[in-house]
Amino acid sequence: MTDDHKLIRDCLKGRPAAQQELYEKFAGSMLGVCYRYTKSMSDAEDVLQEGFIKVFRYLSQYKSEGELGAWVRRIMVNTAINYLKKNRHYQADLSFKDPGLHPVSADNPEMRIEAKELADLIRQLPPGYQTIFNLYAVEGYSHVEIGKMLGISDVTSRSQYSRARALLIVWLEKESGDLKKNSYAR
Amino acid sequence: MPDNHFEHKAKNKLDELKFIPSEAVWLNVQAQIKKDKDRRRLLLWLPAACLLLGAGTWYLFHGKSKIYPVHVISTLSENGKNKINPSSETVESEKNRAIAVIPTDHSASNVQQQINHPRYEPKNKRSPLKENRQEPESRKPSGANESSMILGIEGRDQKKDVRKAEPQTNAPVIIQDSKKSRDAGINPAPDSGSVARANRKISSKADSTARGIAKTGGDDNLKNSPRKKTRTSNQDNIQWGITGGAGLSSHFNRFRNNNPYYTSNYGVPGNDHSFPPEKQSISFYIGLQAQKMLNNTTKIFAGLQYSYSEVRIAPGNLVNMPAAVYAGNYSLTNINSYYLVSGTNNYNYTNQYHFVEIPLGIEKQLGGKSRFSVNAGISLAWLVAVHALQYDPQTRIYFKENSYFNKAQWNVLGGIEYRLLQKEKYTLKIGPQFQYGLSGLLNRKSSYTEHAFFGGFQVLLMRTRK
Repeated sequence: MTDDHKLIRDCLKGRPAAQQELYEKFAGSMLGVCYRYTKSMSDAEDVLQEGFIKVFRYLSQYKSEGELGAWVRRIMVNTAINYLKKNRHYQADLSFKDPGLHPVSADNPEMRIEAKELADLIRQLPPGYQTIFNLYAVEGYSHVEIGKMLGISDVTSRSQYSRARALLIVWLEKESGDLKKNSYAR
Repeated sequence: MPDNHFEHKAKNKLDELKFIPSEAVWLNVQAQIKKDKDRRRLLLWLPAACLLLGAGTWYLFHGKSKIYPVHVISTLSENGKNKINPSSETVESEKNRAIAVIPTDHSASNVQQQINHPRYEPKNKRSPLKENRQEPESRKPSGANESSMILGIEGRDQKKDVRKAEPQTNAPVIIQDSKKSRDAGINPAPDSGSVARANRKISSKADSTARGIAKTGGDDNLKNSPRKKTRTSNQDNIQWGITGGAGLSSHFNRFRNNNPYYTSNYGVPGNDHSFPPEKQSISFYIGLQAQKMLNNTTKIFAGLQYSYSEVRIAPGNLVNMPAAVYAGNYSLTNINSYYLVSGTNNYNYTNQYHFVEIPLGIEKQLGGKSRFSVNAGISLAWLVAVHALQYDPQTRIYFKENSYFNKAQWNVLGGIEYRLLQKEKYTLKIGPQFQYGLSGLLNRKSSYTEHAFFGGFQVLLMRTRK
C-alpha cells in the first residue's frame, strides 16, 4: 500500500520511470480482463491502451481508500464496456435479444480447463451474454448495477446471465468430456 | 454477489489470467501521456498570454496619461501684495511634478484681481510658503519684489488628486500663504470649497518637498523646472500595441551532406531523393509589440508573442517494431515504432510546433504622408512544445524523436503594412507578413535540415500617442 502511494506520487510528478512501473505492474492482469470482454487480442489491447490513458489522466482523482489494483480494474471494465458500445462490430451483437439458446446442464460442472481456455469459452458467448457474465460472475456487480451500466433492465440482465451461465456450463462439460476422452486415448 | 460454486471457480480461474501486452501499447500510452502534458503546459501558457493581452489592451485604451497640467495662477509678493499670474503652464512629467517658488514681479494693481478670483484658497495654513518663512533668511527667496508660486515634488497619489480636482472646476492650482492673504486683506471665497480642499491636500503633501527645494537652491534652481518638457520625450516615443497574424506555414527540407543516403545516392539515376509531400497548414501568432520612433518615418519595434504552426504529412501506417534510422554524422538512432511511407497521399498526421518569440525589427514609412510602410527584422523563437515526426530517407520511414529539434530558433521576418484606421486612441494596420527560419528546426542529429516558412496577414493595433 505504501509502495502504491509512492508510485502514485511519482506518477503524478510526471516521472516516466514510475509511470512505466505502474503500467508494468498491472498491464498483464488488466489485459486478461480486457481479453474477456472482447473478441480479439487486438481489441483487448486497444481497450488496455485506452484504459491506461484514463488511469494516468485521472490518477490524481484516485482516493487511497481501496486498492489501486481494484481502481485500475474498474477503469478497465468501464473502458471495455464503452468500447463495446462504441464499436460497430460489437454494437450489433449487444442488442440483448434472446438468441433462443436454452441449454439444460448441471449446476456445478468440473472446471478442469485452464484460465485461458475458460476465457476463450466466455469469448465464444454472444457479446451481450459475455459482458453480463463477466460483470456478474467475475466482477461481482449486481443485476441492478449491470442494468444501469448497460442500459437494460435488471430482469433482462438476470435472464441473460442465466442463459449465458447455462450455455457455458454445457460447453464446459463438453470440454471436460473431450479432455477425458483425450486422456483415455493417450 | 453470486455465491454459487461455479461462479467462484470461474472467478478464481479467470483472476489468474494474464497476458503480456505488445510494446506498442505502452509506447502509445506514453505518447498520449506526453500529449496530455503538452496540452496542460499550453493551458498554463494561455492564461498568461491572455493576461498579457488583457494588460496590453488596458494599457492601450486606459493607460497612463503623461501630461499633468499645472496652472500657475497666484503669486505673492514679499510685501504682502498679491497678483494673479495670467499665464498657465503645463508641466509634462513622468513621475514627479515640480512645485517651486518662482519669483515674479508684480504690481500692486493686480492684487485686487487676485482677491476677487473665485478659486483662490485662503485657508491653506500648511502651505509650503509658510514653512519657507520659518527658514533662515538666507535661504528664503530673495528680492523684495519677488513673489512666489509654489511648486513641489508630487508622487502618484498627488497626480490622482490633481486629476480629481481638475474636472470639477477646470481650476488652476492655487496655493497661497494664508497669513499673507490675511495681511493683504483677503477673505475666504465661499464657492472655493472642493477645489480648495483638493489643493490643500496637494500642497500639504508637497509641503516637505517644497521645503527641501527651498533649502537647497532657492528659486533659480526651480524656476526653469516646469519648462523641461522634453525631458520625457524618449519614453513618449514608445508606443504599445497588440499584434496578431494568421496564414499558412510550410517547411523546406534538404538532406545534410553528411547523410550516408545522400552521399551514396546523390546523382544516381532512379534514386529517389525527394521527400514525401507535405501539405501547408495553418499558422498563427499573437502577442504584444512596442515601437519607438527614430524619426518621422522610421521606427524600431520589439515584441513578445506566442506562435503556432503546423504542417500536414502522409506518414503511412504505424508499425510497432524496433528499428534503427540513420541520423546525421553516420550515426544510428534506435526507435521503437515508426510510420512506413505507403506512397498514398493520405495526410493523416499533423506536425505541430509551439513557439514563444521575441521579434525585433525596423519599420519605415514609405513617404511622409503615405499609409504604407515596410518592416523587416529578426525574431528569436523558443520551441516550447512540439508534436512532430521526422523522416528517414533511406528506410523511408517517419519516426518521432524530439531530441532532434533545436529549442532556440532564429527567424528573419518582413512585410508590408497598410494603415487602415487612425483614431484618436489607436492605429490599426494590416498587411502581408512573412517569416523564414534561418537556424532550422532540426539539429545535426537529424540527417536533413528543415526550415519553416510562414506567409500570412498581420494585424497590428497600436495605441496612438497624442
